[in-house]
Amino acid sequence: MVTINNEDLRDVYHYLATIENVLQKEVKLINGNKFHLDKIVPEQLTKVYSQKERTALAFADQISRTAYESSVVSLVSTFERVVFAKYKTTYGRLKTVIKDNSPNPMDYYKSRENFLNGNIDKLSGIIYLIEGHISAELLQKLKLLKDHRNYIAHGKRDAAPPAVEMKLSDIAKSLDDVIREIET
Amino acid sequence: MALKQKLEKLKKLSEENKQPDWDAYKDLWKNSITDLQNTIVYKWFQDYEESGLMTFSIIPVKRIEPYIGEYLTTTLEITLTNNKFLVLEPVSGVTSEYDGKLEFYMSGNVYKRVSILRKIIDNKKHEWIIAKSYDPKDHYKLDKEQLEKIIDEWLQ
Repeated sequence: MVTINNEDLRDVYHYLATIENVLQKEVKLINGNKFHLDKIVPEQLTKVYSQKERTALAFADQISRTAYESSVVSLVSTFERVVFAKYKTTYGRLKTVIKDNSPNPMDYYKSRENFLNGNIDKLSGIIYLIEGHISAELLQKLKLLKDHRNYIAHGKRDAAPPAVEMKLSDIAKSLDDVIREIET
Repeated sequence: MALKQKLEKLKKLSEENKQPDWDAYKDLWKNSITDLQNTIVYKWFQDYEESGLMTFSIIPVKRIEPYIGEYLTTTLEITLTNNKFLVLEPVSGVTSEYDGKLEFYMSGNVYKRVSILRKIIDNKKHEWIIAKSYDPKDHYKLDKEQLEKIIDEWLQ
């Protein structure tokens, strides 16, 4: 299991890794015993998907797929919460620095704080902000994860999926690495 | 630069900026899926079927995708003895890095899954890549041996 330093991201990753682990164990039990599915589905779904081995396994495959996709969205949204909180804090601090430390007289002195952009509200804006300041490989992973999250969250209708999906542990580690780069 | 060269350059740029013909692309993608499934069923794994070790099912599926829209294609299911199922499922005709993707997995096993990716070489040629993980070091050209090796690993 990977080590995640950021507390918020670590908590969510641990929840999701546990869900994945539970699911994996349950799905294993469906292999060779289709009726095990009836023990984990809501009561109303008992015997709905468990009558044929193939149907039970296909249902289990879709549970795993849905859990994975939900996990991608959860991890990236947690990352967004963390980086946007940092962005707002940094914006406030820089505003104070500019307000208190700008030489006077200076052109645009009265509007000096407007030189700072505090209006970034999308992950693409954060990516633009850090581009060139983190490793190209890490930035590429972040862009891929943003696109993957968008692909899932927007109903798979307006973007291409990633060629290869990253494991949850790799996703959490990559996002944590970006946070660490932002913090230094 | 002579005027002719400049005009040719402009023409080339204009051709490069043209939107792809998505209908033609979709047909090519559907044919690629069928070709791959036929290669597996009638060429690579035919011996296994004749020996009663595998059975094949072709299942129609509908896909709705960005760029290429809605289309009908097929999923290949390979049934092994002891109720184990391998699935080759088309996912998308366009991906972030390749020109189409299928997933190959053992049903009911979360981690027994690989991506099979189409790489277009030119108008008439493409090759298939099998990707075990995001790391490019885990990407191999798909052939009978690679596919057998993966199934062998999954059955251990």
